[in-house]
Amino acid sequence: MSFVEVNNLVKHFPIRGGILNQVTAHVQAVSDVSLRIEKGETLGVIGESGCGKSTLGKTMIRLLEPTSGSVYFEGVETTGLSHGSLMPIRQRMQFIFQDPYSSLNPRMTAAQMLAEVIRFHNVVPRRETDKYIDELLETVQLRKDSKNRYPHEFSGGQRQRLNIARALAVKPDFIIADEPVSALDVSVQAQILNLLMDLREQFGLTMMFISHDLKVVEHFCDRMVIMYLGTIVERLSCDDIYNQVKHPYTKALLKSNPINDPDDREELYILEGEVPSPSNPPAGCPFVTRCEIAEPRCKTDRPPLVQLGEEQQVACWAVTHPAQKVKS
Amino acid sequence: MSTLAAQSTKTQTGTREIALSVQQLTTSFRSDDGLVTAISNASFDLYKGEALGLVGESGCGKSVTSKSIMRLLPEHNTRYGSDSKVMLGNDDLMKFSNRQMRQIRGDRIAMIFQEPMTALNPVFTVGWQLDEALRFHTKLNRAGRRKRVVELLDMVEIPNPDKRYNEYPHQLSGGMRQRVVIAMALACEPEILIADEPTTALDVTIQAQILRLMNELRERTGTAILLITHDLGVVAQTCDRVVVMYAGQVVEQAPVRDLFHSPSHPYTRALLESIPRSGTKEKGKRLATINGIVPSLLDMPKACRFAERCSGCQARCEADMPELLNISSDRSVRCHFPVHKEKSE
Repeated sequence: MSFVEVNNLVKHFPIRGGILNQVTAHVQAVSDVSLRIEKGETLGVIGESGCGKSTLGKTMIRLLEPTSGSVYFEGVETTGLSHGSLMPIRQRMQFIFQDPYSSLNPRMTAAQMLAEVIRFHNVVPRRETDKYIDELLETVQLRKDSKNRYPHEFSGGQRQRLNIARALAVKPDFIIADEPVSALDVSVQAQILNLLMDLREQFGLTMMFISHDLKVVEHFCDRMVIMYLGTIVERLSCDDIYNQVKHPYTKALLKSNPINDPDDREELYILEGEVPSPSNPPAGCPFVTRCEIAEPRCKTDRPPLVQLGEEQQVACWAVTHPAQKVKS
Repeated sequence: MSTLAAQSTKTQTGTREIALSVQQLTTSFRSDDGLVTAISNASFDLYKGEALGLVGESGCGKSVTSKSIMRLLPEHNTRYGSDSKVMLGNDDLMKFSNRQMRQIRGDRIAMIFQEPMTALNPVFTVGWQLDEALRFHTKLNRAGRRKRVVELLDMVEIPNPDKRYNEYPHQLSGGMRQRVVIAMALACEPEILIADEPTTALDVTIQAQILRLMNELRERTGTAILLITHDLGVVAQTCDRVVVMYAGQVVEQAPVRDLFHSPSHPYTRALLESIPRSGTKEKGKRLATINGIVPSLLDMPKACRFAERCSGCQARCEADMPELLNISSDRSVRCHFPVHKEKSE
């Protein structure tokens, strides 16, 4: 059994309208996602805005209740657990949010924020709390005098360090980081990524790293899954992605990323059109409206995620079941 | 090689006519803590038909530069330096009255903002907002303006422009809104287009569409573009020349190839090294970082502003402020000890 296992996870949000406030439709944020994360590995989750990557993360640790499907954490199914029995497991899974500004309470000092978490989960005996807070701040390379400062007194990078310290305070095994560096400048982004790499080694953390930035994920993660419109379209190992990639959406994503080399100024690959609305996704393949190699069957049948080789999974009819081999 | 790259070579070798010249631009704000100088003595030229990238991290003064050029900063607490000049042809925009500036904005210099939702007025239709610029700056009649607006929407590749004319901004997606903003900026065929982080709020696939659109429009109309961004990838893919800003100063100016292949200022170097590179074997290694943080605008060092964070800092760097000096005909750098070494391939 894998460390974290997600089976057929679905999360729909109701859209209400009309005078009776009836449910008129559903936003299908996550539809039928299955994935596995092995102990000690870092899985990157890539996708554009609205593809459901953040919802997936939040549903996995039950900040949102799943519509259906199951999540196993070290063999224990968390999806059916009551809040009380979930608590010890919660302590082992932590979440780092994207926006270092809004995820900190502006009226609490750094020490108060950390102390709250530590006391709630009884991480260390009460009288050792202060010492433990000092240790935590040191771990994330914040100065000791930052203890009594409020969030507005920190820079963006320092705030993200504080967020990381708060996540580490309960000694978790598994961290979901949702776009932890997207709001930061490149030089600060590099500092935070280095810190996360250090901590990952030091504490043997298993991570899920949600991002829209392919370069960052390729550098930071072991494997990645690419999401489009609530489903996983491809799963890859992060080594040598350029030669492995098979799904037309992933290919487009790779080619539309501007490269830092003015000599390699190829025409940016243009993916025409836009992502369909998740409240009314296409019946077949979610990518069919923008795909260059779409076939008639793509419009009607959803392609399954098929294992190719050891590391890779692809959900595309043209890749997994080329047309000539299909029997009616 | 693509048409884009070919074009940039042409502009580099051809006659270089200056479209806009920013000279010794200093912008300060009055605040409760005293006078805060956001940009000090920024000078650069924008040539006709070129795309110039203005790069830097948050707070380095790149947006203030663009707003100073357009004189869009609140007048009651903004002070410009006495020798600051923004030359458009033979006119100094710094000396223009508000009335004269209104004639320039949208007509000769247009601007695209980062956030396409806030740049559009939510209570007017897209068509009405595009029409406004034409109403103000041209003598076209109603039918003529309508025809032109539909043409503009078509030019920025918005499907069914006739139908979109009557739609409101909330009915459009982010990418579509940015197209409308671009159409609005191009309505009067400006000589200069200032684009302030035009694709930062967009997804990569949409960003690629918008960048391609801007490149095509530049080729077709010959508009000079000042592209303000923090994304070096975007600069590498679209610009001819680059100006790098740090803590309110221009620290380096170079053609795009030279900047990426042999950055001269230690800040530019460090910035380029801190970005994860794709397709290399460096995966999982620690990234190069720049230690420390940008000095506060209220407490700017008198000497080199990057000295504190610079790995090659020497005694002189903490004593004198380096000048922005030419190191070749088309490059300049603000550093006592610029890196000259060519990158070994």
